[in-house]
Amino acid sequence: MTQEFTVVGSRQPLVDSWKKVTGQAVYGDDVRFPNTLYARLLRSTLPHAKILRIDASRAEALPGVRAVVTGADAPAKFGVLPISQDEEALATDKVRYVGDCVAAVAADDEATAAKAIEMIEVVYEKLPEYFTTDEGLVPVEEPIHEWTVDGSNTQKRVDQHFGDMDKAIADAAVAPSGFFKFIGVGHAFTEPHAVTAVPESDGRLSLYTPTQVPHYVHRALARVMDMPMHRVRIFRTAVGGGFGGKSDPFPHEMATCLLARKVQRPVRLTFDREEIFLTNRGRHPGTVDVQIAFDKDGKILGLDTTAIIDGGAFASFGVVTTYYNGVLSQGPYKIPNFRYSGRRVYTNKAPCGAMRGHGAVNSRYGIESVIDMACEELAIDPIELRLKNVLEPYSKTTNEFRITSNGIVECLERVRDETDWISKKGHLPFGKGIGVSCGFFISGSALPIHKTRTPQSTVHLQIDVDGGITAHSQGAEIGQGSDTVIAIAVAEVLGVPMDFVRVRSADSDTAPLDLGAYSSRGCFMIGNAAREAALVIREKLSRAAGRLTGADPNDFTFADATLNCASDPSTHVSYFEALTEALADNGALIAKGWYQSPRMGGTFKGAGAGLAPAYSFNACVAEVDVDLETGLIKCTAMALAHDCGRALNRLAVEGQIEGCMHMGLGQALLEEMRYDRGRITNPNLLDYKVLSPFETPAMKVIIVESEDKEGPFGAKEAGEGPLIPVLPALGNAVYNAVGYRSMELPIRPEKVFDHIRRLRKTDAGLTKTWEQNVR
Amino acid sequence: MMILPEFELARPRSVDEAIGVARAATDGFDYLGGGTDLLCNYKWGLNTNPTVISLRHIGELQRMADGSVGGGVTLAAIEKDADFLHDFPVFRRTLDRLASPLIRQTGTLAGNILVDTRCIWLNQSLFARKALGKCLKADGPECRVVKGSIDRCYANYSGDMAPVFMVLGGTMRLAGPDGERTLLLRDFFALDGIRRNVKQKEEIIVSLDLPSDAKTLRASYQKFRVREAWDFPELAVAASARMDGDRIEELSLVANAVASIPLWMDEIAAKYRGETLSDATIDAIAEDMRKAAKPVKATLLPPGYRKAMVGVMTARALREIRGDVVTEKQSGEAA
Repeated sequence: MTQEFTVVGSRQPLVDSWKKVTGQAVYGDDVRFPNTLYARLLRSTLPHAKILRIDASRAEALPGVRAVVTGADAPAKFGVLPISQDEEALATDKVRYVGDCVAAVAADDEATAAKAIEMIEVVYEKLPEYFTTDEGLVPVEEPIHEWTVDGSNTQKRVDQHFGDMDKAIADAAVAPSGFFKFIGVGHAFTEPHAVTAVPESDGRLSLYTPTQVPHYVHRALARVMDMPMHRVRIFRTAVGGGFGGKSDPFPHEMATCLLARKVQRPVRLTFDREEIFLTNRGRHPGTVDVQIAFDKDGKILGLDTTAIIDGGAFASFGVVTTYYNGVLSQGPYKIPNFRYSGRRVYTNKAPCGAMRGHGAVNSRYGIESVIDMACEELAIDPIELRLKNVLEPYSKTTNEFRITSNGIVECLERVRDETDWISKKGHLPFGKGIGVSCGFFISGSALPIHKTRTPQSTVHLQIDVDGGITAHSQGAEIGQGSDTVIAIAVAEVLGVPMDFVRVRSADSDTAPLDLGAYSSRGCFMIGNAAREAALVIREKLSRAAGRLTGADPNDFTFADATLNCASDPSTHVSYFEALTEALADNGALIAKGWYQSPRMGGTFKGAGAGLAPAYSFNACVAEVDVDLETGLIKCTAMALAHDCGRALNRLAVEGQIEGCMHMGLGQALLEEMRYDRGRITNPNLLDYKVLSPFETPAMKVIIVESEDKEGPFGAKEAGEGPLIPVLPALGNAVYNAVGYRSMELPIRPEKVFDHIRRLRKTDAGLTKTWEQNVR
Repeated sequence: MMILPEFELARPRSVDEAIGVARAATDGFDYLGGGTDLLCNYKWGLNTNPTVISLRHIGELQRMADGSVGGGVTLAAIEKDADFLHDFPVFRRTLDRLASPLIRQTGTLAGNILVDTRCIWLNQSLFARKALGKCLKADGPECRVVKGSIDRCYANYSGDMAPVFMVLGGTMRLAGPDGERTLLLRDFFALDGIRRNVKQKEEIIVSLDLPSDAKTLRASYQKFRVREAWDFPELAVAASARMDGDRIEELSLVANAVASIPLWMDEIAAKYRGETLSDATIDAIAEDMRKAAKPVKATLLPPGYRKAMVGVMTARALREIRGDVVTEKQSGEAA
């Protein structure tokens, strides 16, 4: 460490943790207003059908029913990305998947609302149904949306080529390839979507919602309700987990507001678990076709990849996902030649969107598996080969990503040393295996979704006579700790205990703009904004201390709620003395700090995708024990080294990394959204299998601090990137254990079992097969 | 939120009173034990009834002594009964791997014996069943698993306690409108996912009872599923044996969760009585069990794989009975 910090780098419970563990936090379903009505949604049971007629008269006549709304009440389209606004509050002309919202009812109680929903008659005309990407790549009879590519269901095409990929393959000593398939997975957050819409006495409309993106909900809601933004208020409740699943503006938010405006009473709506699965926005299912060219020494010559992703019925973040599946392959290795073809296809299934490690998880599984193949072909240790190829700090990728701090070498070396890799790799008995993978992720998106020069994050600070520092921000605290980052940054700069800082980040009426909790931007951008704001206050207090003591205002350091004169230790004033002086003839201290990414990137089409002010790097080693009789895989240990620039709060960083390991292993081993002709067949947490504690391995978290020059106190992201290497590390470990390379996720025990059974049949002994074919 | 349908809740204080309420409930009723199965199905709108009769307040169902366990005893209470576990140690692991601590706190023995058969087409919300198409067990015209079956449901039996009681020679005491009767648990089940067993609707499981010589049996329950907590069995094998040295004097086998009832595999067990419990015998029994099991696609895992695993679990059960240290790599710990 080059700098001494007092709060930064310590282990702090999140500032909102106490009220969460004591039940005091107000989540979406905890919001209460007098005279509230209860809403339910009518959802389509057909995957693709034209709406010919909706008759709600019987429902409206049911005692206790106060309002029914349909698509005709608010036909404006919306969506999280301005370039793909394809959603409606309630379907107008047709339904596009099983679960699409068709009508909403508000009633005196939930049971009445549910009963009324059953009484709404909808006459449909069935349309051709499309459930696979293959069906959607070619022109179809009835495209799911109007503006698709050439009459197909293709929503987005991306084609990029840097250098000469064909030559790289021709020149290669080895060029292994793989075609990988991925099932869709959901976020499985704890808290269901739960919203309350409140028509205010002054004609404004308030929406209480557990959202990751209050600002985008604000924009979309104003558009759908046809109200100016200043007449709409978004109150972000406590969020019981998001992981990307609460980062879209949603139809149910719009529908609840429509009902509230219609009846002029508060209306609340809480989802059941099935509705969460139907709303989805989880990781895209799809295929990744990867070929990587290497020279004889293991240096990467080029990467050729194709990703075809199944978007479901709506666009959501899909344009970004389509890019990310390719462009985020540009790290952590030097890729001199690069070709990417990406397609996102609409299908009549629940819409996919952003999920932890957005767009970089499945493609990384393909890449790191193929690298593992190359290591075997070239007989080079997997960690050694990776070390040969890593990007340099403060360099540039082929597609002009600006790389700043980069601790990938330390990440790889530490997982190697701290897992005893060298003595294990190649020396484990059949059935036990060890595997490695690297990861790479953005630390915020350099370009905002909406073209604007407004800063991406702004923090206001206010201090009055009590000395407490109120920090206002729209940074969405979703359990990841962004409120705590603000408190840490302010306390660090002003040399006060963290309990001097109270963060107010819930209310759009008082919160200055922040774009929300997505793309791992919070710590970097909100942290920088908070630090800047605190520096303004520090300057004011320094000047006050100068006036009180006659010392040079620039000579004061801040610690233990005291301003100390660096050149004269006998000169100091307390924080309160300085504050009192600063408030005199002035009033409350007010300050603002903001963050805007610097300009960067190339000028080619799609150059903005994946651009970030900094990138995180990591490496993961997984150890597995495969049951040779059943094929079941047990991950026995996992070590993950993550370069987060600097850990502002070590406890939070450790928690994020452990969460990533758990979630990544879930997708690798068990989690999948199963469909039957467009209908989800496992929309509950018994059949959608999140790992239980028994399946969770011993975890070793290694924090690597590369001290990013632009990050707040050197920090970068830690919430998403650590998930990315988990899956391929596991897959590579399974291969190491039994010689089975899973070309799909989750890795299915029945296929591992079949593989072992084949080995038993075709060879005299497993050990012999193992030694000959695998090591 | 998922809403429970409206029903009248009765809280009788005796078995006779409960049966009286049941007989009066002409529009249909269900008995309620812990509710961890029934109320979930109610929330899904599965075969609901207007009257629910809680058995939680009936003292005579809560008794537990000397191998007799009342139908209303919670699974957690059995787990805490040191004497019972000492006499029948196989239940220690059976219970440890059943559902979750929270569910065991509420769920009862009778509730687990009677846990409704499960199927990927059945255990869905009303909305999902409308979208997916209804099945024979819930107001549909035919079974979705075995297409064309209009008179037999193939939903999977998913309880864990019954197979263990069966291999230990357990009996069941039932009380009904016509008085009490006792039957061997192995005779209790009826091969149909809807009918499930021979219990008359009004009858109540008073207790399950184990004979005293069951204490000298060696037994094992091997449960296969992808998660060690929460999950119902994808398949399981229960086995018990009385050994005379290496020789099998008595053998009982149940293939569980591969059909609509726990399958009492008497023919296979009889074939090997008198044999030495050698590796070859274990392999032969395992192969016979594998062949006999005919799971269908009613659960998560493919039927062919589940069938293969019946053999593996059988071998593990027998090895445990023999005294081998059986390593269950699922948990990474020696059993």
